Amino acid sequence: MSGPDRCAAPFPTLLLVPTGIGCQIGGFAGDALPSARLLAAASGCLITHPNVMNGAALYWSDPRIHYVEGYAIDRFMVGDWRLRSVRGHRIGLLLDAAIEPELRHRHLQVADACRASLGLEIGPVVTSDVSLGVHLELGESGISSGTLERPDALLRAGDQLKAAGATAIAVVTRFPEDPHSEALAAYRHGSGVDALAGAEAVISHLLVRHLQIPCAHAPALSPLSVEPELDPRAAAEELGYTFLACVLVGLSRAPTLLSAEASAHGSDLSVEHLGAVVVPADALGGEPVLACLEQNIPLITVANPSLLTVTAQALGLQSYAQLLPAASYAEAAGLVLALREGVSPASLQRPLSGLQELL
Amino acid sequence: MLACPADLPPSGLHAWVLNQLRDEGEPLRWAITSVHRTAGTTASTTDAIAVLTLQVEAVLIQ
Repeated sequence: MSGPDRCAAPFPTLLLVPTGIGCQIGGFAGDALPSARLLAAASGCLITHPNVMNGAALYWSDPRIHYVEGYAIDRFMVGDWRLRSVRGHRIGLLLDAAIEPELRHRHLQVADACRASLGLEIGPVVTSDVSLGVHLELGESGISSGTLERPDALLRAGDQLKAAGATAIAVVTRFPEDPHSEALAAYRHGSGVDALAGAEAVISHLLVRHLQIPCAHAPALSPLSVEPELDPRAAAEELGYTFLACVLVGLSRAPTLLSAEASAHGSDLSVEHLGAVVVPADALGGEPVLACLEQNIPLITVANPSLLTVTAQALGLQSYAQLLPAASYAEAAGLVLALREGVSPASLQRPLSGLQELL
Repeated sequence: MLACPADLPPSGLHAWVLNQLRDEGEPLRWAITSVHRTAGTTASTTDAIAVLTLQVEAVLIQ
């Protein structure tokens, strides 16, 4: 037993809420954060990605939660990369040349505010040598995605920041906007997908793949007019002029990304330490989940409807012995706690099937 | 759309999809976004067998 509360040792758990698929919980502005906090308390060690933690001007800092960008999670899950906790990062700020002067000032002032009021180490600032040219797209399934006209300029700016000593990068790109679009109206009213999220993931994936340091993205957008019928889940994005504060806070203690071959510290996290993966029940087709199946890691599937129907049944996973369905994130947290404490999840359910004898 | 044998064990799905994608480029971000179980053929056989038709949406680096 460790500590006076007699809790078992931390049980590293990965929480995924795939970006841009319209999840009822987590498909908006950091609205899976309460679930992440609960799972962090249950597990004592939660790995999750910026889409879960970022609430624009809102954020939550918890030393039990490890903020890891999606491409790094993919590499972690296949055993290519390990995670190492840090006390803090020097966060470089990468700004798209397409950002207008006033909007640029707003972002620089958020960075200054995080330095002055939160004590974060931020800088240097690099502006891309040309506009990055972000385009938003929807895939055939309706999930959001996007492309970049000048990935070369993005990576050049990232190289500059890393060479100047940045150990993490917050990237802000100018996103196209159509304040009168039906998709935006639906999102603000609590339906549809986050049309920006897929392109954001592409940008941060490119940087993390190239630099192997923590990176996360904030879109630069003009403020919207007041929407009286705003869904509470989208409200965090309407509190300020930027989406940057949560990214800077998240990156400030994001784990360092190490190749599997690098010399290991005892406290490093690798996929061998992972106790469970928690994922929406109809979004099982992503690389981390498929890698989890390869490694026989417990997979907790949570009812959290989205656009997708890639379920355990569709993939033929009914016989996967480590499959643990949960009706809510509260139930998922209970399952994580049971696994952490060595309580068999089957013993918590009825009917309890009889023992089987091997013949 | 990728057709894979329905008897492919779940533990083999990750490597199988990655191999298909790598024929087109280096996968940056991808996921299976729909699954249909039908009778059909795969690249390895022309006999009609149960196949999983996977819709995979991917961003590939060329």
